[in-house]
Amino acid sequence: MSLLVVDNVVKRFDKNMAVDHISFTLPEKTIFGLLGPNGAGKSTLIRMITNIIYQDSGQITLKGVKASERNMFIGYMPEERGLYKKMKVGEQLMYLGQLKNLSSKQAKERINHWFEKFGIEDWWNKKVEELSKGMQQKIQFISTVLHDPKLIILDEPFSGLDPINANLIKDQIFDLKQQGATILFSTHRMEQVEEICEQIALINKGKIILQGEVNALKQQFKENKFLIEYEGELPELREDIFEVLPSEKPKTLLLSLQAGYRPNDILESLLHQQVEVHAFNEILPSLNELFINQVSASTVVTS
Amino acid sequence: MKKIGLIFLREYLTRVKKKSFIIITLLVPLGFIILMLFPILIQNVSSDSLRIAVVDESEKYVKGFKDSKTLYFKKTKKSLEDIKNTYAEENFDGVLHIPELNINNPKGVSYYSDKLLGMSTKMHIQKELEQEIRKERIAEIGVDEKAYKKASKVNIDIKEMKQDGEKASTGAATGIGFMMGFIMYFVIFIYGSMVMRGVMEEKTNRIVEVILSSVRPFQLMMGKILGIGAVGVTQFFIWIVALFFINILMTVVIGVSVDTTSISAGAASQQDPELVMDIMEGFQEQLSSLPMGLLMFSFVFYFVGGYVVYAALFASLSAAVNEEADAQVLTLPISIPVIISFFILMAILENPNTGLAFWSSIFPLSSPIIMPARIAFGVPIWQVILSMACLVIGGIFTVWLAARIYRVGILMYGKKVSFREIGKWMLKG
Repeated sequence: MSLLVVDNVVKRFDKNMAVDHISFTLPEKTIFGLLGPNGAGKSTLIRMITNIIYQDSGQITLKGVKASERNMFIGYMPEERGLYKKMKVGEQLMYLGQLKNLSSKQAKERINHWFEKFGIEDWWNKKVEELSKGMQQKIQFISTVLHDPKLIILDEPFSGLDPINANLIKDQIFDLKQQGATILFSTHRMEQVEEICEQIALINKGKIILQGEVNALKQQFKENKFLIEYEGELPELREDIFEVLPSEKPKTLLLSLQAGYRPNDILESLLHQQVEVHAFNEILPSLNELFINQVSASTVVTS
Repeated sequence: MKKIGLIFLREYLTRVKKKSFIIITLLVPLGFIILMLFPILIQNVSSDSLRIAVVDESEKYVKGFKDSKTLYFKKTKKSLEDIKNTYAEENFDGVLHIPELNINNPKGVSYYSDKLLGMSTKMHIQKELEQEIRKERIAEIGVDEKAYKKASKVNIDIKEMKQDGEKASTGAATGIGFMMGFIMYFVIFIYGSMVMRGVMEEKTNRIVEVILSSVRPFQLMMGKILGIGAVGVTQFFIWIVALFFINILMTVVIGVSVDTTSISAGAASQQDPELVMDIMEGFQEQLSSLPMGLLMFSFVFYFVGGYVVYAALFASLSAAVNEEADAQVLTLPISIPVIISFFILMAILENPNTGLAFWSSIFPLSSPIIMPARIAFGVPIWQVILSMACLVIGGIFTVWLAARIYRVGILMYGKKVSFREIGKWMLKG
């Protein structure tokens, strides 16, 4: 079931097409990565999903919710974080929660729940400006998820976080997904996407240039490369089955499979020899490589 | 509406609970007390008593001089040259020399001292001397002094009446009109810039994007304008109540101190207490002749209306700004109509029934400053209704226009915005 459907959405700023006929769907209970270089149109797209600005044309639908109330079911953490510096943490969260239609009783209960979860029960009366940056991020995260949103949109959620806090937030993201939330994750940090996202859409210059499941995309763009770790003497290699590529580590062999053969053929050619095979891995392209290849390809095409 | 309510409450409570708000709210009445007490204190503290040696060559004048608490005259028989050198040793502060005077052209009175006399003391001495010379002249003409006094005491007060016999009053109207115009001017700048700082804080803090994912820009803007407006109303309410009590306190304090100081040198002694009473009573009467009910109502109405119009303008333009420094330039066009209105007000207080007065009291950017003053002077009721209607319509239009600028500007970061672009935002949906 898809939770969010973005259909043919267009947004122009003067003559500049910020979002150019973008369509994608977000299945329920997935972690979706919205990727793209700076200025690709990610933030504009997110602002339209969260009702901050309106699209010029096209449809955005959140399952079972009127368009005008969509933002009440979305939790949005922008890339540029911001809180009222002089306000107390508790009051601030109460305010932000009530703006998302929580009653003051509900808001208070949920804040206490999250305070317990993060072990910060004594923060209610602290002013935001007294907190460190990492602590402020925790508050920002709580404010994003306080109203139990169906869709959580996180724009670069780990920027400026130390590894401990980044892990804490990451765990919370997985937890929320377990509890039924869907997460839209906008970033240009590929290693995080690889770790967390199940599906991605890659945007460049206002257009989607690639989209799908992470594993499927890797399969689609794989180059049939394999890495073998071994001990002992290598036999004469069957260059008709594979081509040997230069490898950086000693006692490893980087191979490219020739057309018409299967990976098993590689193994077979080595199994009954002196050499002892310790590991055999297919090398899939990293998202980083995909990202760079696709973005530079699309840039060349359009320019 | 619920959202505007929440925003309103936050804007209001965070400001009212601030230490700076409490301090300023208390300091202003305190400032008033000091301002009112200061002249009295100064008079009592600074006027060390002066001892003046008088060399009165004709020996006619000094005997008429009255001493006061702070001023002693002592006739001396020494020659001017002697006393000039020795007055300090004899414990005098200075020497007043009155030569033989030609009463038709009295010249040559001098005062010798290393210290200056001070304005009020100098006036006091001059008055004493003038009085003596006047007596002398009256005697010369052969008129009885009492008869002269009786004849010269005249006091005319023109009572202005309307056709229906109601009393009107230029003096009180000018006073009240100026005061109300000045307060409006003050309100627009103080609370308008509070709105401006609030908008810029949210924008530079980046919290605005989070808030806008929950509410419409219009709701955020309106909640802020109304919340800060309520801060202004609260502050004024506290000040008015405080002033009321200060006033009671002051009449007690001043009443007492007027009694003691009126004999001393200074302004109070120049007027005869009967005349002071006359003026006070006249003022009371004049105040009661003003249309107080309509004035109160219109003041509140224009207070709210004028604030909303200008606050919306401040909010919209400060949303387009990235740095405080740019705000100065962008808000200049808002300040100009306020300042011009204030100048027009000055002209209108002199001459309240011109075409300029009419049009400026209808136009919504100037009417909040000008119309209350004109009401004090008396204005046909249809003009009041027209002006109020224009303010309501103009207010709604300004807020609508401001919201269009605000919602584009508030999310615009980095680049400097020109007035041309702002114009485009207004026109384009």
